[in-house]
Amino acid sequence: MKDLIIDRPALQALPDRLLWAVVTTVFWFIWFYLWLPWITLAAWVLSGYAGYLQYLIYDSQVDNARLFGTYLLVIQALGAVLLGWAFLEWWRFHGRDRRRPSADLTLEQLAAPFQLDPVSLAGWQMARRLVVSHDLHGRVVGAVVSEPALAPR
Amino acid sequence: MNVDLSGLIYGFVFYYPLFMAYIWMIGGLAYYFHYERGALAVTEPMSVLRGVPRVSIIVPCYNEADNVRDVIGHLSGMRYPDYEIIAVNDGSTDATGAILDELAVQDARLRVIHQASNQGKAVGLTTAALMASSEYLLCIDGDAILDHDAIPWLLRHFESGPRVGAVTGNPRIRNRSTMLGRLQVGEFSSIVGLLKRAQRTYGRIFTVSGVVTAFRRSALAQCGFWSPDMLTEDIDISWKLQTQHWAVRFEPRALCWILMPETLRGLWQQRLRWAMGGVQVVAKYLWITREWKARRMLPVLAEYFISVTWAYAMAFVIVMWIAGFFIDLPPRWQISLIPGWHGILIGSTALLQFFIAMLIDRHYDRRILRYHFWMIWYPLAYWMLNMFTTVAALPKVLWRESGKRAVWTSPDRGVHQSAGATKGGADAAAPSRANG
Repeated sequence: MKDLIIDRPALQALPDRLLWAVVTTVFWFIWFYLWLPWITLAAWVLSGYAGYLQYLIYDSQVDNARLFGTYLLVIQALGAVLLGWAFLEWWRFHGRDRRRPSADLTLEQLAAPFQLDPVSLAGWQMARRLVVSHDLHGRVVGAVVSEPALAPR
Repeated sequence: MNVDLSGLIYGFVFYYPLFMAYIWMIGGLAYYFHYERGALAVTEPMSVLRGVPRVSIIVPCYNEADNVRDVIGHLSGMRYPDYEIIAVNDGSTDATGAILDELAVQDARLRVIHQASNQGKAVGLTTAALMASSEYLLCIDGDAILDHDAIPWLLRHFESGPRVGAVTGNPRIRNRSTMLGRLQVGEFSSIVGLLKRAQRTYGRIFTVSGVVTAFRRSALAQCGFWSPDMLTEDIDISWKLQTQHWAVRFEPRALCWILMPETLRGLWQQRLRWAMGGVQVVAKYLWITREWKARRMLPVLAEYFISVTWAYAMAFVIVMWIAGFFIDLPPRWQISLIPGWHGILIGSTALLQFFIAMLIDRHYDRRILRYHFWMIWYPLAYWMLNMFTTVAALPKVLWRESGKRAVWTSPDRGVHQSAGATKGGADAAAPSRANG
């Protein structure tokens, strides 16, 4: 897996690389700044009254904290609906398959919708190299069979 | 009745992605603990199978001269005893055809189908499905490297479920040299992987990943194989199968390493096609709203429909924000896009979703958590990209000629090389998926 991953920033011009790295880092700092209410809330939970005062002063976010509680309730309700449905379906159908295993298609069944000759199709299914032609709607109309060979150089 | 329209629109723009993100996280974690975690201890993938049915690996290629040797070379070493490789040269104008003929001489497992002209991926796949000598078809893209143990992981679902019509694997991004590449590493965990897990928890999925999916041929035959006119053949085949009551599953251990665009232009082209394909499919399957038997697909349809609505609502919010600089808007219509309490909440939610998704995917992509650092950009850059592509996609689909053949050339494959190619994949097509 490791050798499949192409992570070579050097393929970009150095200014591009630096620009994206710097801008991304700046973005993270902006995010940390915007997260101050969360950080303050965490400080309040962990250390008590002083943190609470700071949280209260910061943009009057206490109402938002109540709103946050409402969001949590909505998320719980949505999650319960999804998981409840999934459990119900699993309970009803687990290990019980109403569809019988289908037999593999016969050549005739495969060829019929395309109006192909089953004998020809059988030959094409064994061929190593085919040149296939189609009609205007993209349906197979014929094929020429040949053995693989190296192209003349 | 006095309806607060501004409150409705602004509330929808905020609450929809917020709450959907938690549904994806809860569903993803439920899938992980119920279906995934137990099998992580399996060290011998062949032990999960009862039989060894023959498998046909199908690789559609259009101008893949730069990649096809690596792709076919890797497929030659699959750890599975009975398989064939069918490479479809879809009328390539480069050396793809000659290289495939050369490789077929060297590898007896490789069969080559040359299409006389460029027909598109859907026609290539259908042609290969007809010519295949087995019931199980594993379709990958012409630039994708399939993990050597992928076959047994995918096949076990067909063995255990007679109504399983398709199993989609776990695409992982290879090219991570640029910020765009790294963002997509997180996106494919958080938006593709986590959503598929959550959707499997529900029971239906929006789309398989066109880059790596195994199919039961009899299921494909029943629903008429792939549609040549659909821009995202993978979304369409997922809906065809599921509306015919075939199950579609996700297998996170079937890894497939893929290349993605690393230029903004390439990314825009790709995402616009994905968005157009999503809209095209949803329009095609609107009939399920009148069909009781297809009711289990309704939530998936509704989620996509709401996502498209969200994109337009978000675009409206941006317009109102810009208008606010020039026009004295009524107070209720005034809005700021500078992140405040709401912005932080939704941004933190997005980062949490990335973290959870990467935590799950670290079992398959061990150093993935290091890319979380770059995800800070996602809410800004990617949500906007997905929003604009969706807004642009809807009119393009409405004005698109009905039945027109879907043939496209893929954008760049990252900074390590540049090439055009046929390529599928329509995950993360909708804005709410970008949001959560």
